[in-house]
Amino acid sequence: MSTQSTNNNTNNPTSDVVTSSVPFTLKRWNLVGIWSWDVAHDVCAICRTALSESCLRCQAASNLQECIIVWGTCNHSFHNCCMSQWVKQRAQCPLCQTDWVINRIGQ
Amino acid sequence: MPKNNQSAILNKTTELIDKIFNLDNIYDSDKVSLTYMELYTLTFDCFNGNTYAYSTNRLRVPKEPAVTGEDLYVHLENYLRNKLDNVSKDIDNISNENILQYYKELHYNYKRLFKVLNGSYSYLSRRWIQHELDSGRRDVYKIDVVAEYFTYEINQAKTYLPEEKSTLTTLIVLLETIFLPTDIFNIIVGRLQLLVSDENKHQELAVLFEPIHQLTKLKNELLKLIETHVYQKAIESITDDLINNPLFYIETIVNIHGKYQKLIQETFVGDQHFVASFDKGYAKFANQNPVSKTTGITMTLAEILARYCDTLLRKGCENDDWNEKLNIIMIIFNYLNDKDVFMKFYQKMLRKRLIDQLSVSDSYEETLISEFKKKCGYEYTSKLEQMIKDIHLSDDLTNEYRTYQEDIHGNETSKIYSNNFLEENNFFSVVVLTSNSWLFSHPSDIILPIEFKTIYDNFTTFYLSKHTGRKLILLHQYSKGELQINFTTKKYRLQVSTYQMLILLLFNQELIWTVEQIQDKTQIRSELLFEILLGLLKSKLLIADDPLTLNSRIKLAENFISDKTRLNLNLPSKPNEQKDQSHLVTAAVDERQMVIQAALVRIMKKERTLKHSLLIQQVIQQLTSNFKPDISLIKKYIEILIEKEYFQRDSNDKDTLHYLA
Repeated sequence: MSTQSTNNNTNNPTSDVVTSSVPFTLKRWNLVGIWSWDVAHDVCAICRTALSESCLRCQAASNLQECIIVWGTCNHSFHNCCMSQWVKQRAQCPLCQTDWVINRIGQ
Repeated sequence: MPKNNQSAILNKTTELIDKIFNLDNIYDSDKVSLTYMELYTLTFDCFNGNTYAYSTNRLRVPKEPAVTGEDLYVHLENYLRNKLDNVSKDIDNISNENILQYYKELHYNYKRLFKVLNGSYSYLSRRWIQHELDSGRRDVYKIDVVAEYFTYEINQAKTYLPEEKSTLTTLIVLLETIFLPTDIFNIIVGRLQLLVSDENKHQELAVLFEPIHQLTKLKNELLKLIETHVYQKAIESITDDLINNPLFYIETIVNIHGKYQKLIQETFVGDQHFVASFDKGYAKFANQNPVSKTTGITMTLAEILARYCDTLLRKGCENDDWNEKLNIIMIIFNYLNDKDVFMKFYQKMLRKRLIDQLSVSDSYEETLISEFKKKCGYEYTSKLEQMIKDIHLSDDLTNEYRTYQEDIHGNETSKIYSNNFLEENNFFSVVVLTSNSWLFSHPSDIILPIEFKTIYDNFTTFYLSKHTGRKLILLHQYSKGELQINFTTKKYRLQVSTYQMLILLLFNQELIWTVEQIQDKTQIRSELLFEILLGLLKSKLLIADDPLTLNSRIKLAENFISDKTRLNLNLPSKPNEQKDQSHLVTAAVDERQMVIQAALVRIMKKERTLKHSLLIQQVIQQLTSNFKPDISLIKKYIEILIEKEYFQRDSNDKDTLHYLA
């Protein structure tokens, strides 16, 4: 189809001709998508709550602030709230025990 | 009948009652029985007009009786009144030490006296009072009199026994048994039933409220009657045509609510027990899901109410007074048991309103959500709030993306568009939603044509540069587009789903496709594909051989014609809708197990150690605003959590649980 319309395009620069040459012209596209965290595990290993939801602490406090996710260089991910508590005691990833270095923080 | 005959009989009555009263030992049956029989015969004869009623079989000529039931009744009433007045005077003269003793004796004697009198006058009760009640006479209420004595006694007791509450309670119970023996009690209840069921007679009930509200047993009966009555009347007012019309259904049941609430308020001066009975009866009715007699389909109140809200919140609905509608919604919502099921329906309908931009007003949406929140708490509505937030954010996102496109590509933009078949400036808009706040079915995997893919990839690059750590998933079933038909003289505009769009755009390449080829190109799963194709065939835009198989050849209907220039082909299919509906109910009920477990853990984490029964109680308390949890289910989940080592039973006390951190 694209070949056809491109051909038409080159041959007939006016859009009127372009549109009438094919049975249908797309006028509008409303895209619906969902986003989720790009994580390997769905559940935070620290608070055992789904990463798609706020951490247990934020839920209990009915915290309206967004509870974000943090990834280590090991690519394991946790709630940022949970991990910041965790590293106070030991600076290692709870899942693979490698030294915890933040790779990225979700936005 | 001569007057002296009447007074003679009444005097005789006085004499006989006195006789019973003055017996040395009122509990001596032998002594009592003689007088008792005499009194009974006397009352019996009064009704039958002669002294030989028993002994003759001859036809009785009806005569005006010398003494009517009423005379006897009034006479008895006056007699008792006098007696008690005297008692009251006596009591004033008795020293404090002896008062209880006196009271006890008095009670003892009166109890017996009433029993005897009740027997003697049982003929009167049966015949005359019943007769009077049946003929609708209002001022004859035995209980009226009874209650008067009753109040009198209680007041007496209160004067002398101010501190002893328990004695007073016992006394009240005792008095009730004395004054209201079973048979009279049943007569009164029967009468009350008549009054309750005849709504024109509720004024009479109002008169009775004062005496009855002190008599616990009778009051309880009346409360039960009210509850059943409200329930029955409400059930009777539901007809089949209401069931499929949420607007009428909800407004009808709200009217029923208003009517009975007013009635209860007026009749029982808003007595909280009566209000509670009414609530109970009404709640039972409202939550009993109506079944259509013709179709046999059961609707849930949760669904009807959600549909009611949806109807009011959609464009095209004229809301004269939104606050009034809001009130109606909240009245019914307060009675709704399955608020979690309601939330599922509401979420699904809100999804449609928001994604398809059907909502009549943002502020209406927000006020209703805040009402739900007030009632059920932050968690109940958090997803709804997130949904609305997502839509606002998506508007911003679409605008940002358009600006970004212009900035990055500058003049190239127009080139990109013209290379594709999208040319209008605002051809592309996007809605990106938070995954866990929306109720979605899983999308069917499809192959996007390269033009779509370029647009999508461009957007994804932009989106991920704004947000780290996210991934995007397309929901084709909710995406949609608009096509223009070029092969007809009239320029029709078609609203289409993404699936329909993919199929129709194939005809830009070839004029004839087989079903198999279409499937190959689009990868839409066959069940869905057939459904969509049948829809397009029905719209007369496409033509195919009948019946439709994988080998059917499909072509454009070149002579397509329609009255309207804008056509919406993107309509939901009915069977899918219904499947969706029942799926929502099961989903909500399944979710309860998680909700119950979460509540259990939350409570135990806070309390650390708790009795089994208290834990159950707290769970019920926390969850009632959502649904009515089943106790056996709670117990089951406690066991599961013990197995999973969240909790531990106390080694000494099996009923106590400990939280294991």
